[in-house]
Amino acid sequence: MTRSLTRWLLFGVIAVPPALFILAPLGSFMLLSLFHSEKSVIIRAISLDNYRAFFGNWTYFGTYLGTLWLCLQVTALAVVLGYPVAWFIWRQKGGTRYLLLLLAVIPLFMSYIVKLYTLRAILGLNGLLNQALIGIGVLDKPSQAFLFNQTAVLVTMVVIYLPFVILPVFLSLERVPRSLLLASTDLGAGGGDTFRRVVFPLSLPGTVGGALFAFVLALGDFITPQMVGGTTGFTIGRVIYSQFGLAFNWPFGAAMAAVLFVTALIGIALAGYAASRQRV
Amino acid sequence: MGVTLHAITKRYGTVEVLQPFSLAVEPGEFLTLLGPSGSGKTTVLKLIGGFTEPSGGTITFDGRDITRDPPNRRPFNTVFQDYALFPHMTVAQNVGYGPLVQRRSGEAVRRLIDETIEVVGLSSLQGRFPAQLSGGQKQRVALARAIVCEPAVILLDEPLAALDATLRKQMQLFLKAIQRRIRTTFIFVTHDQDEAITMSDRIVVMRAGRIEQLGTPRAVYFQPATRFVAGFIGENNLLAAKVTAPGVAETAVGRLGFRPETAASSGWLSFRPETLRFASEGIPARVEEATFAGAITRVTLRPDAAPDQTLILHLTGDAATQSLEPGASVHVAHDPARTVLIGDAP
Repeated sequence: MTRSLTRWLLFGVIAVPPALFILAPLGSFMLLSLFHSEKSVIIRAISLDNYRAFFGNWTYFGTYLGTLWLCLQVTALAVVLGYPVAWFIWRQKGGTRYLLLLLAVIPLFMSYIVKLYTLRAILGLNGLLNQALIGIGVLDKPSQAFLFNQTAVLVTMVVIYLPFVILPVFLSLERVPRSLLLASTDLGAGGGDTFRRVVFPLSLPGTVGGALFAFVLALGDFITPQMVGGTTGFTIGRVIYSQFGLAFNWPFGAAMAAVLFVTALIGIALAGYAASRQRV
Repeated sequence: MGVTLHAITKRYGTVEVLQPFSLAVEPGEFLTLLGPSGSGKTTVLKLIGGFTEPSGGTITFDGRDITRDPPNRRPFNTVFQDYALFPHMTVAQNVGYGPLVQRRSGEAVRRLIDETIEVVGLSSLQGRFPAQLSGGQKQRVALARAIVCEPAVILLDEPLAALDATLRKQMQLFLKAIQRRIRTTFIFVTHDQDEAITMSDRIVVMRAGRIEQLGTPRAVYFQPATRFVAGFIGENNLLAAKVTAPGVAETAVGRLGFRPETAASSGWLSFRPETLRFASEGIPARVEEATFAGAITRVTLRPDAAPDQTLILHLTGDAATQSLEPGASVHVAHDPARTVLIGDAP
């Protein structure tokens, strides 16, 4: 009796910070999304008008779907590029391995803004990419095709979120016991079979985790589209940002943020389900 | 025929873990590599399995040189110490893994898999995952996974080390029974001498990368070739001895007879505690301690002629019920027919 009471009290104490700093703001945000704004004044009347406006207006909803598609592409590309890198690092021995791993995740220690400007410098009109292409004779004059469009957003996001995929994939590969690889070889499997039937299935939880990181981070990113997206690289993050910063329609912005939040939750739930189906 | 190691050496850096090591494994035998940790027994198993390459020498199988063949090209399979079952596969999938990656399929193979699972007694657990199995069951899966590949040799790396004592005894008998049934060569690594004696056709006793003795459990037990073997396997009485006449040696406790098989003029007399008995005359000694241990009573004795030495005597059967007071004066008789001279330098 007293034991369970103590436990509830303890739980209460521990639960205060997350409740205060996560649940409360989320709740107030959700509530805000049900109000509406007239001439920058928030009217506190509950309605679903904001959501109706969002789903009913193709400008918004289409941008949302486009963003979703973009983020899925980012996720897919980051996994396709990140997995082999993680695998390669995992195959190395001793010091080389951790040196490479460190190099792969070093971007995580660098400022986001610095990385964006670096990429702008690479993709831009006088950037490395154009110079290189002119240098090898593919282009006659610098092309503007690499920056300020949807593809630039995609490329930049993949580059920025790659370490978030490499790290969990590497960690899950690291958890595969070496004896399983020996056993597989011993039973007659070549490298391909061992990878396909043992290594890959056992690294799936980490891969799903990495994919989730890339997806959720890309979904909420409004700075990258702003910096490298130009006029065509419009994402829902930018729309939400403009509702708060420019249009001063906070309730509508909150409604769109809520939709994005639910989307991320669905992504997490799907990933959790996929990971739970693995027996590791 | 069978697996043969010719003057195999293995170095890690400057450390020699195997001295030139030669061994011919007979087809169909249960051979145990026995030795303390660091004796190189697991290295020998890894070399045969192809998981590591020797620094020198050759390994042949049925006359064919397989020294540089990778594990998947050798007709051997290993039962790993930690079982190494694939956690994401069921029992049936684990057992079927070998045939699957060897691209063997069809009705006959499917029947073979079913039969193997039945032989190890896991038919009712086919659909379980390794995490849902007990230690002994995992062990059986690991064994079935090797057997199903129909290897010429099954290599077992201390497979019973992780099991508790009772289960271990059961699994010893089980492994031996399976081996008799499928008539495959088993090469078994252990540091447990009881296990080695119970299960093996022949035992290779190893120390510091070389063979101390190779022989049947009986030979290794009753005719230890070196002082190390005499001390490592079971309890033993060892007395420094100088041969005075054929079959007679002078020791600290007097002249004792032994089997006159060795040509050595000095060494150690070795006789088992169960070959000693109390008698009206013999070696005079004092009882130091008598410990009841169930089937036997273990008696420690101090010979009157050499109180710094100890003799151990095992009383069995009815005699084991007799109680002995510490300090009692007794005479013990040894059996020359079951006493051997080990020709090491004393």
